[in-house]
Amino acid sequence: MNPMDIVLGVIGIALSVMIFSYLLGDNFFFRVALYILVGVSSGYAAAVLVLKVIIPRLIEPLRESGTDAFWLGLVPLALCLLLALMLVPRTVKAGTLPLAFLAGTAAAIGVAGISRGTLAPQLLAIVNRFSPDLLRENAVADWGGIVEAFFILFGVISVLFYFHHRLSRRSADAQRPLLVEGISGVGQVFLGISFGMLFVGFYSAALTALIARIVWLKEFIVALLAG
Amino acid sequence: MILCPHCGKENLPVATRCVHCGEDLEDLFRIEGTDPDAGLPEEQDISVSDLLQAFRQEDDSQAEKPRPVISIGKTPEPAASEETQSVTPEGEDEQTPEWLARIRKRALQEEDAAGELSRKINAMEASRAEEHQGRVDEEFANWIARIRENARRENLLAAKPAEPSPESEEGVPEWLRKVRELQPQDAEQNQPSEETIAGFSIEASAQEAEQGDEPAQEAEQVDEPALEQSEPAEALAANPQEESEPGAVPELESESAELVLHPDEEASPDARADEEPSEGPKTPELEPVLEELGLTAEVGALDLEEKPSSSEELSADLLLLRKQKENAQMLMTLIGEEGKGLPPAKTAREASKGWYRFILGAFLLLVLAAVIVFVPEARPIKFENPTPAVALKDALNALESGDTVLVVQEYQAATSAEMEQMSAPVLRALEERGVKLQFLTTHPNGLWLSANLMDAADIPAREISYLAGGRLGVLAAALQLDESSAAVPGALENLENYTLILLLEDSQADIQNWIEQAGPWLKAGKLGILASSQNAALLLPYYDAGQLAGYAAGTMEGRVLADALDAPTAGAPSRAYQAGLLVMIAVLLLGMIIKAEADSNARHQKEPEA
Repeated sequence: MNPMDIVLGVIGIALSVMIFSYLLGDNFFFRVALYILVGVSSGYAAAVLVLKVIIPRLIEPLRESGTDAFWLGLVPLALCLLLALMLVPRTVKAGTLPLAFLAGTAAAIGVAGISRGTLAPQLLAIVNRFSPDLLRENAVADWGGIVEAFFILFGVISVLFYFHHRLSRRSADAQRPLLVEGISGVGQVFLGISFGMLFVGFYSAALTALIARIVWLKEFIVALLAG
Repeated sequence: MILCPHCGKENLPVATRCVHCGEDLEDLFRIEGTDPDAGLPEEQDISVSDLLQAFRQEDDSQAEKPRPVISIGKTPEPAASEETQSVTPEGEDEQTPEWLARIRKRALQEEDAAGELSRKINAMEASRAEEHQGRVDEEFANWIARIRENARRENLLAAKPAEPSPESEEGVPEWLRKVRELQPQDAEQNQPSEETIAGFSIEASAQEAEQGDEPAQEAEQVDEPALEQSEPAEALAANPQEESEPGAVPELESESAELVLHPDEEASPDARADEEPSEGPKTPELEPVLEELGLTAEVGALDLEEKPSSSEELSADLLLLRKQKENAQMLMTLIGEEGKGLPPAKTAREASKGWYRFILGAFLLLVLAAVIVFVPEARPIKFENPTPAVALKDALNALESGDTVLVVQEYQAATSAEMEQMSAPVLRALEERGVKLQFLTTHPNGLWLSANLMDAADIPAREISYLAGGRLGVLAAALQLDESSAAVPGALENLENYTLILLLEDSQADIQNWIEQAGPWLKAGKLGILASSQNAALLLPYYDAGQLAGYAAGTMEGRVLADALDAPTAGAPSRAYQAGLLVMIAVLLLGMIIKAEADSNARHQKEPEA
């Protein structure tokens, strides 16, 4: 191992131990490691944005005066200046224009994308589950597919019941019918299974990362001892 | 101006009647040469006649004839004087020598004809009158100054309302008794010095006051040096023993004593209450003057408080005042908080929970380390291929040499181990098959993580493009039909030109961005995903809806996929992964049992109470 690898390895071990110290609670060493992570990430991201975005898309078009790129480059420049005015307390309102433009555009695109990319395809998928072509196999009813389709439909309806009537129960303390309570309970079971699966996924990802870090520590120490 | 002999008020010199009382003023002009401003014209008439008589008597050697008594301030009998004045000149006109006639004539014509003696008498009388008037003015000015001083102090004290503290039997305020209780010895030791310094203060103040003619404004200005001189002193005592030294107390004792009052006493309402009767008693010299002026202001005895002589006592006094101020501030805060909701109670965090967390974490770490170090790695178990992973394998196997695959790298450093373990065998297999790989990232971190991925995949390093803008950038890339958009990197082609878009994801939001923004504009089966295990639940509905060519989530599915592609991987130690899952299962079960036991105990405790 060259000296640089040793130094970097020691630094990595130190930072890993500092992060592990969170087992003892929030402490100074954990916060230091966290600040280092946030600071380095922010600095790196800022450098990337300057080199990859601001210079090629804002500065360079403005250097070509008279071209279309120049005139188009004035628009983001003006928006940037308005945004920079938010640094001055008396001109904070001027910065709301680019922010409003950005938020409005993002919201519009998000709504369009969700409707076209998630809601419509998922609803069509549930409806297509009941397509006669899919429920028949060699002119015989595919009962497994039928049960699965109904199960999926019931799961969707029960979860929607749960969310809808949970919100309505918050607004008014009205006693709900027993059928609604039962369907909401089933929806709650579906949600519990989904959250359990999410938890397993998160834990699995964290466990994989932890194992990888322990393996790296083991390999580094072995290499260090081996010289 | 002339003075009315009846009412004593001023009138114009040309007035024939008093504008105040209507008295005839023409008699004032009967004798020429007299000064009306000198006052007391009747006296001058008498004096002139007496002097003339005296001159005549001297000339006639009639020394035995008594001279009329000239009294100051008293007017002689007008009838007698008129009789003498009317009889004497007429009977003696023939016998009067010429020089005497000239004198008489001159006395009637000139102002100072009354002679030097009369002028001296008039000057003496005027001087005495002026001295008397000046003293009256002085006392009046001092009295006004005291009133102003008291008013000023009351105004200052009005801004600091405080509760009046009860006084003791000796009239000592409550705060002063507390100070004395705190430092009884110091108070006793300071007693002699109090008298000395108080005497010095009195003398200094008396000297200031004896300067006499200074107006009230100047007397206020004197306050500051007097305070500076007497600042370390105790205040003048109010008891009779200290007042019983008349020699040390000058005429303006009350004023002098007020000059040495310390400002700290002004802050105390008790001190102010004691100051109010400090107008002082009417000294014998002041009494006739004030009575003559008609001012019956009661100048009470000097009621001066003892002042702390040391800084410690001053600080103790100030500490008491500060405590009162803090109490008032707290009361105001409570009043301000009235009507508002109570702040959320801070739940006391049990220290033992931290130890539980430490024990569980340390236990997990120890188990994993022990398994990694001591347990040999077993042969991976052949899992049945999940349907999405099989679909992805089929899509990858369908790629031919020359096809272009866009590898979108969107994961963070925290999941890089898992993602590299899944992605490296796939990329290596595609590279060996002659598939062109183009790398793209929407995260700044992807720029340096791509180098690690290429090293892990053992493929030649190549440039990675950065697509800025997140969701907007993805949409711009999807809508880029002529490859001329400035919002996307120049190396990025139209997404339809790529045979497969392979997403390396660890974030649900990034997956949805590509599915929702780019998916609707792409043909079905263009998107394949290698994701971390936490996104497995999210991807299945999209795969069932036909929006994905296939996906593999987590290291287990990644290993199955690699085996299917004939690209075996070393992978992470599966034993350690299994041990970690077992530890978590054990912890969850233990937690559920403990929670159920705690709930049961709680129910049992509530039942007897009910």
